[in-house]
Amino acid sequence: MSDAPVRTPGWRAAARWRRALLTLLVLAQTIAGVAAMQTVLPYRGGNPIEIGLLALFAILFCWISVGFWVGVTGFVIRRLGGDPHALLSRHDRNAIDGTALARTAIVMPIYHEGVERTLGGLRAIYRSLEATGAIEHFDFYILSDSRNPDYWLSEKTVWYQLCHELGAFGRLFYRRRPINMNYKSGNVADFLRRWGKRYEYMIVLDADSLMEGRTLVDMVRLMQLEPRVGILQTSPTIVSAQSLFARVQQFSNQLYGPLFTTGLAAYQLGEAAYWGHNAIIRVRPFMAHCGLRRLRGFGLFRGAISSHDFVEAAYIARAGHEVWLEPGLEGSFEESPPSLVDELARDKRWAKGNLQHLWLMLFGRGLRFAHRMAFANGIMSYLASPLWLAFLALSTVATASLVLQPIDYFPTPHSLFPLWPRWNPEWALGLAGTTLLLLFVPKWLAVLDTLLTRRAEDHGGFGRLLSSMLVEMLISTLLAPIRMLAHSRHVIEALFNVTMRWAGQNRSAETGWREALLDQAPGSLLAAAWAGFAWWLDPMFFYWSLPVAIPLILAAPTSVLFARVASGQAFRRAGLLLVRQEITSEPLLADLAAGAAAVTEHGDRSAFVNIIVDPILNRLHVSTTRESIRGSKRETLERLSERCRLEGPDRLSARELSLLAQDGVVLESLHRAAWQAIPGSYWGRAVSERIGD
Amino acid sequence: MARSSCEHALSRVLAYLRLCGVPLTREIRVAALRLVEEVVAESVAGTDAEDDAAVLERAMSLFWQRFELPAPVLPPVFPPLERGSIHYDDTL
Repeated sequence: MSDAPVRTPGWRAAARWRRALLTLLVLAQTIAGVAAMQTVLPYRGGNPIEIGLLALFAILFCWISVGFWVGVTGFVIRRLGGDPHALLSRHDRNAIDGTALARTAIVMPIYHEGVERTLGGLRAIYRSLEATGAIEHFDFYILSDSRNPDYWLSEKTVWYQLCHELGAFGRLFYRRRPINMNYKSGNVADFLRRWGKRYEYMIVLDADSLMEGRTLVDMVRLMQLEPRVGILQTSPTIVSAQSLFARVQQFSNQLYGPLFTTGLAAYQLGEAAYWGHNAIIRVRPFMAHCGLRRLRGFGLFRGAISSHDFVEAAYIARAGHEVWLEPGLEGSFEESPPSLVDELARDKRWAKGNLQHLWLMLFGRGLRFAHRMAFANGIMSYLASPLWLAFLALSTVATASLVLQPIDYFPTPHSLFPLWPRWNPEWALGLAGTTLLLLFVPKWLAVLDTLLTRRAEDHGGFGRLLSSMLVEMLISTLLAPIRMLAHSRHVIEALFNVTMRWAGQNRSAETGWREALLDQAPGSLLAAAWAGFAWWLDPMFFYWSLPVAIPLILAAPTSVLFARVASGQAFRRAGLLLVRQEITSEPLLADLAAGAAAVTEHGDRSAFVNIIVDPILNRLHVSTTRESIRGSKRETLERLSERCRLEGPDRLSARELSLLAQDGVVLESLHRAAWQAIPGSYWGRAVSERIGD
Repeated sequence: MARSSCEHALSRVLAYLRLCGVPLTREIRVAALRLVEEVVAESVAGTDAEDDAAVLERAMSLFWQRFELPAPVLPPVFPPLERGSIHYDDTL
């Protein structure tokens, strides 16, 4: 039974008419688009291939029309001074500031992430929150799922150093799950089972999240003021981009993001989605209603839910609570993947997760229609790619049959009048132009909004803003076909339920030529063959194919050059793709950069060697390991320990090192042996290095 | 010039104390020196390598027995458990 208040909130009426208007506009636009497309086709949609083309066009045109109207709505609402239904619009500053805080846990689930950035980020958040004077209401949890001992030993060591540096004893905690079931949602659920009852709220961070202290405080106060709200999602701004690829994402996120998130929030209102991080959650209803059952379908639709966030939003809303996206909450940041290869690796997981939602969309009981639409939106984010690919394939078939087969004057059976197939390139150009307008008008509106709100200086001034926008459009156009082909593969693999490896995300490395060539070669070859075939069929069709074929042929060099930090910095020096944080110092980001040294372990030895050699770290790890193992496992451990004592840890596997590092007796005995080892031995050298001998 | 085993032993004892946060006062340094002196005096002459190993091993063993090291101040890794449960609805 729902424990939420029952009175119907006022925003529901606004949601109904806004969504109805959006549906009307999108449908009208789609019908007009399909009618125009029909006139472009030689047989006016009179054969199965053209019917297929029209059907695909209708879906894709409808999809981009939704994006267009969301962007336009965002522009209008921003021009009108904001959405009166938004949570922030309901309360003035004094009311927010005067609201009492409540116990809140800030949780950061991590899995094989670099400690410098992740825990450095947590350090900056802690310090920012401390500066607000409200730190006593918050506890921090590092929730590790790392298995490789080099990662988790570093995490624990840096956690200890941070506790000392920040004076965060009893406020900053570290918990590692040795068995990491159900990915990130399982990690958070494990936290909730152990400590959830201690807190009213939980703020979930990603490994690359950064949040201002005042934003965290405002989020808690808004939750206090709005007891119906189960989840409040912020719209994170992408920052700290270095490579060209990441700087393009950062620029477009900062330039276009406010428009699209305002528009999205205006349609979702209290039935928004949860994006998995940079959000605050009311703990009690979340624990009461958001347990994720394993799916009981077939193939892809069987087993653990891999993209948990949308489902959790749908479940908490089903229980009567509201979920809000609040774009007005500033001071919420995240980072972009550094390269196309890394983005596509992440998208592979997300594609599978989103397609899995189809089962819930169709068979989830009692879910709100808005959340079924959110599932549909997520599914279409990936399904649009194979549909576009199918559209291109059918276009090729249609052109080939027009060129290679005799003309069919009676495509409709029993027709008395012949149909003369006509190809109208000027109409086709008009339709293509309209489609491009739908894609690019919201971007121009975002530029206009930036100018009207006097934020052009955030991007280096008017001239640089325009030049940067053109660069962004060019790069996005080059990336779109590569993403389309990759997402098509991801969708097919997901539908065939290809097993995926759960891996930590790369957040800094560049893409090498070998990796790029191997990754992109199939797409490049396919595109070259397609363009060649198009030329052979009809030179006009060849020219139409170029906007898709050229980016695919150039995919390998594109992904290498875009992933380079040097390329990103060259554009920055030229004053292009600039964002506010690159022009004006942001205290939180400055603190993150300044604190990098604070979370870096000394020396170049592995984390395991550090905890064996350093007396304090050794005591820390000895005192926090589980009770000593007995029986036959003990013998195995002792054999491994002896090997480690004689040869050092380099020849032991990660699993073996993990076993040793989890045993207090072993850690202590290796520590003593290291300090007693002769200077020429492995451990003798490690000790000498540590003490600077 | 290669350092002798007693130099290594003294260096390690002093470094260990420093890493544990013990201030290296005159008394502490004298006590460390005496410990190493005692170990060297006790050691039986053998090969150089055996001598090195024995001196270091004995010196560190005696060090851990005789010196009272301050217990490091360790933060609580996590708070006391307050178990709760996650509810799973019967339907999807």
